[in-house]
Amino acid sequence: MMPVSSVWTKGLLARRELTVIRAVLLMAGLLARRFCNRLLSGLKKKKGDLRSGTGRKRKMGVVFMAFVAVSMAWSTMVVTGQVLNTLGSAIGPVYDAEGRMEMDRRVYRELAQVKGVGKDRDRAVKQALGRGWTHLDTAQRETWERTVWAQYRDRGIDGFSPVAPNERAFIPKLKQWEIPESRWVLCKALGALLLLLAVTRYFATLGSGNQDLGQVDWSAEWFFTLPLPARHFFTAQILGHALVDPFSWIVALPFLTVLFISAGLGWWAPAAALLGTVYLAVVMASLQVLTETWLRKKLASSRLKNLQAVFTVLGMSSFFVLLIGCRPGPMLPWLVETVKGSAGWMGMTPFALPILFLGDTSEVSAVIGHTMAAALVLSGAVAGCIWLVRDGLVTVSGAYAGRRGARSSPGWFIPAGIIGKDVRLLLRDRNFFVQALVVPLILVGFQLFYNGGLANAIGLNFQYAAAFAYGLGAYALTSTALGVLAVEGNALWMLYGFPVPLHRIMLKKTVLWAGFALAYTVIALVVCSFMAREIEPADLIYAGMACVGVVIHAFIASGLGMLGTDPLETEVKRRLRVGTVNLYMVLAAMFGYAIYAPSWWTQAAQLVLSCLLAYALWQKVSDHAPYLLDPVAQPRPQVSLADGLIAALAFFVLQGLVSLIAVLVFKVTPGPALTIAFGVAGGIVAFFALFAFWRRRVPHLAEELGLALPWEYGSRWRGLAVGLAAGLAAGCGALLYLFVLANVPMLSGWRDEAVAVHKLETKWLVMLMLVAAPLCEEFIFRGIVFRGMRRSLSVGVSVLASAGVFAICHPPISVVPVFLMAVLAAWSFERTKWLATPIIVHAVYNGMVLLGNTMMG
Amino acid sequence: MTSNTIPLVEIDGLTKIYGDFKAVAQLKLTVARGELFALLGPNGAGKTTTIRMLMGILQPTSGTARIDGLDCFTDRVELKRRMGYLPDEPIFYDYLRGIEILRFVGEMHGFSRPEINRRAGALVERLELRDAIEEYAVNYSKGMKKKLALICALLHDPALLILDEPTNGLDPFATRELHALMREKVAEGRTIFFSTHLLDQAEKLCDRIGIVYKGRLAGVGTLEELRRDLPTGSSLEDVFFSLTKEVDKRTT
Repeated sequence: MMPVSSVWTKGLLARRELTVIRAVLLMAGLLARRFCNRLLSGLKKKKGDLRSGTGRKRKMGVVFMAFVAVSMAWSTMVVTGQVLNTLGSAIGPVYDAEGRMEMDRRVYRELAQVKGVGKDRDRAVKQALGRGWTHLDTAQRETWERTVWAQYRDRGIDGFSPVAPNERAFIPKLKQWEIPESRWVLCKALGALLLLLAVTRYFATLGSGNQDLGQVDWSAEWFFTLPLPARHFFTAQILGHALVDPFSWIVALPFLTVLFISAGLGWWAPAAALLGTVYLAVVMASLQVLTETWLRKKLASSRLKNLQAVFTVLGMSSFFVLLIGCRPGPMLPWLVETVKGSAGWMGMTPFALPILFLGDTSEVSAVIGHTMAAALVLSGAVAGCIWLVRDGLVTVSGAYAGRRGARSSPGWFIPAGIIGKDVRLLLRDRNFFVQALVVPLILVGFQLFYNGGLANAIGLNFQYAAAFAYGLGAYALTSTALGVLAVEGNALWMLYGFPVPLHRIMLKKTVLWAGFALAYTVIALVVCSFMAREIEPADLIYAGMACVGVVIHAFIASGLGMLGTDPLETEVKRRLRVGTVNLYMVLAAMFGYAIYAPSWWTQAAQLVLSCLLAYALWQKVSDHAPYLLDPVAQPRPQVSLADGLIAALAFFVLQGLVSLIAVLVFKVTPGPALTIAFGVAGGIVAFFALFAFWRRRVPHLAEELGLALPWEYGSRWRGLAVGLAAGLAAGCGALLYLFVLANVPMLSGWRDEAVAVHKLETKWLVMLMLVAAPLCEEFIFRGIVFRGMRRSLSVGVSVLASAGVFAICHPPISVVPVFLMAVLAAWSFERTKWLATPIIVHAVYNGMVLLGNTMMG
Repeated sequence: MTSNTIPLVEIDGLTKIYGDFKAVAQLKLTVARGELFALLGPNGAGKTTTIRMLMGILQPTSGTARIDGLDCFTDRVELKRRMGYLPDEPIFYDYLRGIEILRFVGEMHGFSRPEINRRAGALVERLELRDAIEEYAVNYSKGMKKKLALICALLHDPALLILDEPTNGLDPFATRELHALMREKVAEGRTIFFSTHLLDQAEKLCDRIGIVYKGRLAGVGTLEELRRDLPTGSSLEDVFFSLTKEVDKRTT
């Protein structure tokens, strides 16, 4: 047996010493690995990925990430170019050696052609000037025009010298760089911009995006158990964060590169930009780590989460200021004025160092200056952190320390069950409260404040007001209804212990969030109605549309959220898949546009379609709900309403496309073109639908869709007979309708429209109406839509709803008879379960309408 | 045939496959009413997967699991009235106090406020959580979280209790309390099905034991029945190692 002491030293000697550099590399590697894993985990699919991480998906993920990074860097460069242009214009005109003002070549040409005197000349000059400076806003343009006028009056056309237009250049070559005073002002303005960027990044990284802050277990506690002195640890953390900082590499580096190229550094520009970026990254990481350490020492974890909410709001607000300010507008000129004046210090913060070195300093002193400044900040931050943890890493305990807290009130005013739980969580979790209820107000308020035109439009036209109120409500739903499942987090297991199906619980939650969103919409409507000049009865319809739309979209949002949430994902914040939010926003925006629509018909159609979409989503949710926590099992494949809606949409889009191609490319006349389009689109949709169902292995597919021939010979005849009878009935109804239209003088205009629709060549018309249309439309609307609804709803509701969808897709004048026909077709399909029946109904109906039209027309 | 002889839990040919990994393979066992049954096995044997299939959280790849004649997956909502579940690592909602969580569970089971207060009060007293019940649940220690989860499971007085590694992480006092509570509930006529990897706990507490290893059933029965093929006086440990060796031989 070896003596204990030599065992101990043997173990110690075997290990390598952990130097600062190695610690930095390890820490940076760890942070980078974590960052990549978090980003790539969003691409994981459900089936079988539990115990295998496929290499192919990881490679795709890397490619995708690289693509996103490159496009963001590119956008930053473009925006920087624009910013430089605006700043250049804001600083003032540039004069060359002989005192001639530089001017856009195009404007110069126009100006040179101005002849005449007096008012004509003035007008011509004004017109010429109007062609330039299109990237500036109104106030700036007026200043420019005045300066140009003054110069023109003094020296005429010789007071100007033409230069290539700057706003075309990707990287503008501003003459202001060459004039010392302008250069200084430009540098300070850009420095102030960098300050704003740094502030945004600071708040954003400390806000809701930060995983470590506000957790009960802090990963740094674990790091402290490693054999690393505190100095090494904090240096490693700061440098690690600096190395793995997407903001620096994707925003700061392109920004500085464009800046330095524009300033004329030429080939030195990328190197100088790199130096500047490293410096900025180190400074910002130092501030971040210092703040995090200080906060962890001072505040308990629940307070930290509340503080994070504040940071989120601040970060978001400053990000918006940045985003909107960088566009041509008053902000950049205002910035220039401020740095010229008393607030010049804003441009001289440590963040602006890379730009200030653009002054008359040599390269060597720039490098030395940067390195010294970075080292200074770094050691200062490290010293600060060490001082903070001198009495232990954590002094505020998050765990239960035996305090007897105040007794909670029984909360008689809070409703019972799941709604009560969510209301309590909303009131107590400040982060969530801000995210859900305050952020929409900030965003919308900002829009109103900045975009004066919007406020005007709302006051003038109540339709805009209704759309705006709807938009506010729909936006409030993104943080609440979309996350109904994700917000349960790791406590989801509790919901599985209750004798209530999961989707019923989630529906109750949706009602709660619909209520909140509706409250926002109603309040916005009331406020707008006070602002409006007068209210017409039609405005009440728009208001109604907005309110109903918000409620329907609450269910659409929660349905999408349920389908797009992966409860097995380990990181709670990642559970909602990214595409879900975007998809919801697209759908909500479509409804918003419908409110603007001039015809009530489009609005009614949109309403019906949204309702159906909400129902289709929830049908899928109740299919999938039992399998949510199972990584491999899937619900039995079935024909759903969602499939029907997709098929209908695809059919109409394809039909339009094919007929367009036929008319434009193949030069076919509209009549046959429409028939061909129907046939082709119908065929494609049918083929893909059948293929998709077959791939999914839907059991009893032929019976489901009604394609299977009935067994007994007699029932086939019965099927055909029922179809014939129903078709005749529908046709009589249509003829009656046409008769009424013809004989009631008020409606004759409608009747002419109805007849005009059918003015096509007879042969093709017959083909279309008796063969192509019935086949395609019946397969989609009765075979898929009706069947999809029927498996979850009663006969009556399915018949009426599928007929409603069908009627909506036809021109308004023919709605009533078409609706009747659809009802009869669906009912007869339900009786005979054979798709031939509704096809016959449709064909007979079309034939009778055609006959009726030709007889009456 | 009286209802007492129909087993409460019937598992037949239960299989769960993830990709090409068999978490549970052809499991077959029954639990009678009023029994204290232990599912014994090392980590990764498939105990938690079996329990999740009983709870209806997972759908079996093949085979059936029935409780009280109802299928565990298709009739899971109805079964929740008769089952209580204690997970291995209970995680509760942030920002909710213990008593609020209990009230939430009670309301979801359909009880009125006075009824919840009565039931919860009794259980809280029994498990000595009265001091901590007003505190936020996330701040509880591990033992207190398990106690709170146990009260949630017992609140609606279920006929079957399913406990996943119930004493994992509990101190000796809490373990003794839990064992006493389990024996008491069985004496009242309830059935308890729990999973564990502690041999001595299974030996001390249970009527019948089921041994699972690598997803397969190595043996099931009372301790006497399991000891039959081994020399007399063998402990559960000897039984366990001999049975698991057989499973290894069968699978290789």
